[in-house]
Amino acid sequence: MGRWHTASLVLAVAGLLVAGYLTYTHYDRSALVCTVGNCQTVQTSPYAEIAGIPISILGMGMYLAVIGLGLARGLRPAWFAPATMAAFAVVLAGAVYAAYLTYLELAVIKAICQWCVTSALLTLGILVAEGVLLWRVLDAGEREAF
Amino acid sequence: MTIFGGLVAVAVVVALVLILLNRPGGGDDVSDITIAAERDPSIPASGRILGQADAPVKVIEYGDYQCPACGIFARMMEPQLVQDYVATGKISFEYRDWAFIGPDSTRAAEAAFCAQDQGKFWQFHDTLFQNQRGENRGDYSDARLKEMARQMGLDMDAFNACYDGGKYEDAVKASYQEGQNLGINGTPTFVINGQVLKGWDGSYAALKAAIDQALGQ
Repeated sequence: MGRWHTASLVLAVAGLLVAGYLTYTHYDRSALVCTVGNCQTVQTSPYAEIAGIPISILGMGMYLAVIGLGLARGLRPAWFAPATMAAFAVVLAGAVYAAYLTYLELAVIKAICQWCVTSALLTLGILVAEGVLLWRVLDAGEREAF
Repeated sequence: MTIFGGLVAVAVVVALVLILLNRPGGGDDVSDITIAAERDPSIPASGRILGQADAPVKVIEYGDYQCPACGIFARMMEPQLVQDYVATGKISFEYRDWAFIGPDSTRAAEAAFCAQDQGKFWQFHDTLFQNQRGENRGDYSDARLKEMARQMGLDMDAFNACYDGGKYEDAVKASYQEGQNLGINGTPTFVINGQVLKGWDGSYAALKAAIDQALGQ
């Protein structure tokens, strides 16, 4: 396994933990007292859910997909190219969406949740790693074509 | 590069769909508003204070109309508190605003002041908590607040002049500042005879114990 491959997996595991924590706190806000806190503002905003599903669960799904695809291409070299393409597409969608969410935090909700930002940065890191891997896959593909 | 372009296109489309799905609904739907019953007239009420002015213990709640915990308190525990302590003349109970969750909180607090002008503070307070659905979802949009006032039978010319004119904007801000000065950092927070009840566990028993202590029982 290459460095970028390992980096992608490690960042995705970290992201899964962060998104898991955010999901837990999303459901555990039966808190007896409403406290001042930016994460609470962000997590209780109407943007924190899509059709009743917390966004952090979508995040967990994305990280799990990256981990799954990463493990798959590690196991079978033949899966390397398709798994890398799929992982890149998944994480690019995640990164675009995370950018939108960060914009919402700054411009609309006007509160920053550090865990959400952490997740966005991890997604960006995975995008870089997967971008490098994809570039290598496509580059190799082009050379083979000649 | 076509593969790359295809992957980018798919990713962007997926992200755009998620963004479109994520737009919150407006706060102008007034069809589900319910109006709380009027309070028991046998309980003395003056503005936003329930009970007799000379009650030995004064309990003040600092709350936010959007705060779920305040909603739980208002719906589940406050009636019991009124029955046990206010009706028996042991305490007076006052609701003050500590509007911090978002613009809906501030709007609701200002509207409640306007209802208070017409002697309907408590019914409006109860109606706000009864129509609480979440936080920062537009539950207390201008349209919904006015509909609550209208269904409650308030004089709408007076209510609109008060609310639209921002008559109580400063009062709501001042109440928040007052809470800040007391060191409040969440809602509901109870102040019993000037002492902030710290570390309330959310139970009626704990509030009762603190009040009993102040009563010297």
